[in-house]
Amino acid sequence: MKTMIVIEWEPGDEIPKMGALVRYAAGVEPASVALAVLSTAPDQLRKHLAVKLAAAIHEVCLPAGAYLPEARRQALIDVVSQFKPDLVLCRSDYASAAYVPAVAAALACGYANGVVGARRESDGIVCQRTVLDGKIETDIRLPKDRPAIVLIRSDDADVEISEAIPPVSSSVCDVATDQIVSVCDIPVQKDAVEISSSDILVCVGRGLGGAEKLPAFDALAAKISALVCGSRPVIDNGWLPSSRQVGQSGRRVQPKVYLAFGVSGAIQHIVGMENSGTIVAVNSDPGAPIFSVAHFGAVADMHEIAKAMTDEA
Amino acid sequence: MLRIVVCVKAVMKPGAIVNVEPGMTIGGPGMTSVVNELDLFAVEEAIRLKEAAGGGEVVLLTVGTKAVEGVLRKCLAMGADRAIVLEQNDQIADPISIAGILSREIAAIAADLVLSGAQSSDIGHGSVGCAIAGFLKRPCVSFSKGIARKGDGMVEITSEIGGGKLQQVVAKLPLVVTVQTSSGPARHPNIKAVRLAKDKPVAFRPIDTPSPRGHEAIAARPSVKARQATMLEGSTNEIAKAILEIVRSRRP
Repeated sequence: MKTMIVIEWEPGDEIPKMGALVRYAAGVEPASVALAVLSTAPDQLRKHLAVKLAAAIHEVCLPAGAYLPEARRQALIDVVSQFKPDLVLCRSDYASAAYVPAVAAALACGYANGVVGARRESDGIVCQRTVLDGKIETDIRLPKDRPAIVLIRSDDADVEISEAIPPVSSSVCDVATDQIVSVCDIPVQKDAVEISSSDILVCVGRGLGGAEKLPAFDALAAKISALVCGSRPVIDNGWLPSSRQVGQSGRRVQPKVYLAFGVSGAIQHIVGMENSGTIVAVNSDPGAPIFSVAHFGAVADMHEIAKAMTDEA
Repeated sequence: MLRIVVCVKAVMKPGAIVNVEPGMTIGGPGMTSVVNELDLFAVEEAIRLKEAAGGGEVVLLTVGTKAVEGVLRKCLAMGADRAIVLEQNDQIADPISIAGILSREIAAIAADLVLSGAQSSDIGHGSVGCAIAGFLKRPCVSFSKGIARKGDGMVEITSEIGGGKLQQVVAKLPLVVTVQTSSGPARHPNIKAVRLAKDKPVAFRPIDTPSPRGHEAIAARPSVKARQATMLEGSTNEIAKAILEIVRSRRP
């Protein structure tokens, strides 16, 4: 059985944290593991890929220019078709979600996203994932007779590196996407605040109710030397700019103290803040999933608590 | 004529108390189905595009049982023209087989644009829209925050690419777009629109050929909570003081 770990990387990106992917590969099938690197400059990453478990590196050079999921789709189809792994492991993130499902469909593979555990059983690989905002845990079995692509919720762990770089093979992905006419980056707002630099964060969720309620939380943040950030609905409703978003689609933060006001605890928010030092959640719903992530919780009105804290601080 | 297919899903009302029954039916007391929130944004975006084009058709497409009709009527009241339910009674939550089933119908409809919410709030693979693009061999633009018409046969999409970054993508139809949010808030239909929606066609069709599964669900159980928060009790002022004390003690 062959396992392939997919790494996406662009010059300027951080060196990818492969710990979780390598751990899963080792748990399911350590004997034959290859790394597939999809990048416009894959050779630049090579020296960081002396992963002990990896027996080979397949580099796929993507066309230069703007970020294009279509190129990655074609590159992954090519590399899987060429090397025929039984199991393909990718990170579960925004970038993967924009092309990996299309690869699974095109190649009629087994597939699962958001996987938090995997084991090999006699009748196939069984993965764990949670549904309904983490309330229910499920076991799913991948088909045994076909290759499978699994997207893993990574924990950003580091990986053991050896001295020698495994043998490298290279290919070039040419993709004709005349349907995509133009792609350009939208500049981030100039006044963007770097929320990940703050030791204390005050996060507001859907419970905020409206932008007019924000000044009370700005006042609290000012009193306790914190910055204000928000969960997905707050940004989608335009109450805070996207630079303030915490979660899978926004920033991953790790402050010393994270105060979550009116945040329900959707899984895509949790992955952005679960590693904070101390998490305190205030929510009027005693069943909110945030209470199983927080260290301290209070079932209370977020606005009243914020006001009382501001008066008291 | 601009023909837009919107893939929608009926989901358990977010925040509902859930339990797992033997045989893996996930249910709860007084469980109600609602339209998946991001699918509602997709419906809104489709109606806006149809209005901007000065005509066209918005077709809702779902896999489910007879019970989803109520949820579809709400989207029809928003302004969609008709709905198709591909009937399936077993509880499949595998995004690849769902996408396969939807893709065959989309090909038959000959849609110019396929929209789907970027993720469902219940099972949450966030994969059906992109997988449809894979089956249909069309490009997919993911996590749209707004779609605008750009002349005939072209659209401009504001797309999220993670880390708070955005891109502007101009693409030719036919295309698949997964929707994170719509250009403006999802509309609330008025009573007249709700009444009119009762007469809009909802077609139920059996699924003739199953699509290969991406996986098979074999067990479900309540999650073991990683942590249970220590609950702060007392008056508003007492809770506020306790939180401030936590902040002070951990401040560097």
